[in-house]
Amino acid sequence: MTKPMYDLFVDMKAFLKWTPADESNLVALADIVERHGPGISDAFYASLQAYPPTAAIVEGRVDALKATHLRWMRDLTQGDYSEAFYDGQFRIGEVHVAVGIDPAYVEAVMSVLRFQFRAALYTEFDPARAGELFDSLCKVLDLSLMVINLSYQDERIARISGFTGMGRKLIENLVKKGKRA
Amino acid sequence: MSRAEQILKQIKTLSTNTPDLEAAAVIDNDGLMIASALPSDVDEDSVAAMSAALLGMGERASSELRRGEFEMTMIRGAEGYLLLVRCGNDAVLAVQAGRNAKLGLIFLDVSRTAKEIGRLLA
Repeated sequence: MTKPMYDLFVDMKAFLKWTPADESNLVALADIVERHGPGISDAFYASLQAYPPTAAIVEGRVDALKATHLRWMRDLTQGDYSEAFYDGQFRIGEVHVAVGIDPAYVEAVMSVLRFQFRAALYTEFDPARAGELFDSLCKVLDLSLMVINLSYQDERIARISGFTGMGRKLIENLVKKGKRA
Repeated sequence: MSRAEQILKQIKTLSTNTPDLEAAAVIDNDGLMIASALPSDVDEDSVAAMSAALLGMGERASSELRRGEFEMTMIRGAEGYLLLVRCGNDAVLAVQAGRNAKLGLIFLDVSRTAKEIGRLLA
């Protein structure tokens, strides 16, 4: 983890108006994850398997991935959203990079989770409470996605740096100063 | 005299004493300008970023293509040359020379100045 990236994560929490109520709401969702998580994972991987480019990535290891996915959903509701949470999400991003998943798919498939969780919440709670819980869930999904994207960005810079010999700060300066052709 | 002033003095002396040498600058490895004696119409930020990038790539290419220890990146255009050499571990000396420049003399002066600036930055 690089410190400026973690600082960005802290900034994003402030931007999203992250509150202790969000943390308690997410802890309250732990039971939902236990009861609905396997079904949500099924829907998540069904969407990936239904689309040829993503189906090729998950082929032959869907059961193992579902178990990992369920652990990730449990992480979303464990109640601690500080550095350890950031590190965990960052590592998930690194794994995604390592297996060659385009970040666009990671972003798009978050929609499936939102739809599935929303359906579960409105089944289990009255609409007002379901709305509160869903708002907190959306925040943590957005934070997770942001960290995963930071991980992608970090890996891209590392690869450019490794290939060209340019330092990371130099590459970041080039991106800032650079003009589109 | 401050270190920045000493570095500026070095590159101004280099520019003044070396025939056909038109401009010089010292840039850190992150692409930020340390000192410059460049024409007023040159975008210093661009020169700094490009110089650091070209030096980094030159070093990597020299290593990957087994050309031995890196000494210099040289670009030749219709109007002259751009030379990039290391100043110690942390900086780059970039110089521009005219198309008819006596490169042997420039190599010597640039190398000597780069070593002195590297010593100042150490």
